[in-house]
Amino acid sequence: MKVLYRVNISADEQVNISRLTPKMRGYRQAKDNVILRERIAIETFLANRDAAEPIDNSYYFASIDNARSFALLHLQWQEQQLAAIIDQVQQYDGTTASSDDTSKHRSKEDRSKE
Amino acid sequence: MTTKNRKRQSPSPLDDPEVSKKRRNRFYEAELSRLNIELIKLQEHVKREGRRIVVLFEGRDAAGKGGVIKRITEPLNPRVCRVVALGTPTERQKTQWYFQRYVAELPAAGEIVLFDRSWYNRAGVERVMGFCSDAEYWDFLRSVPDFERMLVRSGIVLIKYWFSVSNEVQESRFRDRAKDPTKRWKLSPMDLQSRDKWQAYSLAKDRMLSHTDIHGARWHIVNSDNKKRARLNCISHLLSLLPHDEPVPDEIDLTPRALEARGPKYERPPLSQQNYVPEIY
Repeated sequence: MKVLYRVNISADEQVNISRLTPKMRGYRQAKDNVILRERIAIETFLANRDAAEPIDNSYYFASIDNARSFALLHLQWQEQQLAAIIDQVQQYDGTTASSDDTSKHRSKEDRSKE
Repeated sequence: MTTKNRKRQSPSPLDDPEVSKKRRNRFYEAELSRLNIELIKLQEHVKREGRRIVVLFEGRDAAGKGGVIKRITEPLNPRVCRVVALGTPTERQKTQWYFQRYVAELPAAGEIVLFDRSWYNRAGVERVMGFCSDAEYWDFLRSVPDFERMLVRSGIVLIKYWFSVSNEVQESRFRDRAKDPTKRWKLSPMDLQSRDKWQAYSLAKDRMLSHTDIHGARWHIVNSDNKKRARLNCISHLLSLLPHDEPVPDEIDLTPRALEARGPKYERPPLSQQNYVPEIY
């Protein structure tokens, strides 16, 4: 039996990556849900990115590269959102009520309406 | 990645088997001439507004990047639009920050720089052929979005194209290159080695595109199985992203040359005193 890699994404957008060995609890269940191909990992990320609800889930991967890539994609997405907020704050000229009045940054709720 | 609009609304004459080759070529040349005028307007706009434009051309070997770059640069002033195609890094460059040699090539105001392959080498050929370590590769994927956001924030317009070619078409282009002595130079030993790594390149490409498709610097995918269509599609898409409403320079009325003021009359020296190129044609 092989080592699996778990990427846990919590509702507050914490992302962590860990090893799951065959003797550990939850291994059997993880094995049934393991993501083998990177294409599936990327599609899962895209679905999560466009989802209306916050993500709170664990994902299992057979390859460390796919697990790392998946975790990084989520973190980079968060970073992009943060960068958009920083842009707004930096460009805020004090004429409107708050820096996100003319927001280009879309919340998950906004995206779900589209 | 913008693949949504990939399907055309009506069939292009360029791949319509009913249309003769001559008519297809005529259509292609006419469209290219029309786009050339638009490119000149874009050039005037870039010059006048002092804009800084970077266009990256990425894709597999023989995907047609070079052909598009050639058609873009042909009508433009090389002082405004230049091509950057960096070779293997020197020993010194290898010790520098990975992006350093690319940064040196970024445009000043009023310039367009076309990168024929770019910093994305690390996520493609270097990864697949094992020219970078695992740590360098992952650090690259992490750094690129930050690096490109920095460029965009500084006012650079960054446009990224991926030329998508199918396995069969790439193989047939490789065979053409191998046969044709004027194209053989395009086939490097590295191309031949990477021929057997189609799948590894595909995986690397998918990962690269998903990690680096960021706001302000999206990837645009060009279907390049048909070279001529790819050229027209790419140039017209590029033009659609950038304003190019400047008029082309006005027609110039060349009046008859004025007679020169009085002075010593010029006499051409005997031809035998100069070293002429032999006229063998």
